[in-house]
Amino acid sequence: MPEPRFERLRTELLDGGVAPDCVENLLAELHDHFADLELDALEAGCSRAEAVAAAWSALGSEDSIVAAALCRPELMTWPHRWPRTASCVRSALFLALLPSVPVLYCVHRGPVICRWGVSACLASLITALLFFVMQLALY
Amino acid sequence: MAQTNPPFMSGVPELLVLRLLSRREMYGYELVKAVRVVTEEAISLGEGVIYPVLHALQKTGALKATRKSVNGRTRVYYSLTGKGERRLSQLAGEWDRVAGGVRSALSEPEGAVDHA
Repeated sequence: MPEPRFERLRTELLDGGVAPDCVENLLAELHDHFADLELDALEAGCSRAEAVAAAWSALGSEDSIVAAALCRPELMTWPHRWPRTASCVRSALFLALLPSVPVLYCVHRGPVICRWGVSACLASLITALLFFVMQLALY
Repeated sequence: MAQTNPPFMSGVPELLVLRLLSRREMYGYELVKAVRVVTEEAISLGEGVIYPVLHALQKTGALKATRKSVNGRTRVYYSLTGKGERRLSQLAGEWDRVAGGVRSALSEPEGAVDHA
């Protein structure tokens, strides 16, 4: 099985904006179809190399398959299907998330922040005590 | 109101797929062979092109896909839904209208357009 051609097909479909689940289903069926074509050619008396070449020839070029998939909006991910809406939603989400990032960070790192907070408070307290003792020693 | 012509050539695989699946359920390889037979090999497509058509029709609800194990291999069988039947009659109607228009233009005697 010439995997590199299917891999290239997968990459081109994904880069073109076809939804990943659709790409996997398409490739699985193309694999099966290729195997059927290869088997038919072998049964017709072709050598392995001839059967593979005949199967690819019948299946069509990667470009034609990619073009056929890219012209079907139903197969695309929604940001590729509605790019303007996706852009608006992305911007709105970004604006909504931006102020909450520090809060989310603190919630996520709560124990570490508490530890550092307690340490900083203790350090301040000790420093203040030292200054106080030094102050008493001076007068 | 005047109807606009659909992009009929790009709709041909879809029409053929729906027509063939209205007879019985089939899997991709079987379907491609059936297209070749019913069109008497007049329409030649890269066989891989059929799958984006099948998946798009499935996404729109015109087809239903069922996995079946046949001779130790898993096949995805496609069958027409009610929505698919309506889509088929719509596409067939559009095709008849376009084909009728082209037929009528071809049967027009020469010079008739000049006198129109």
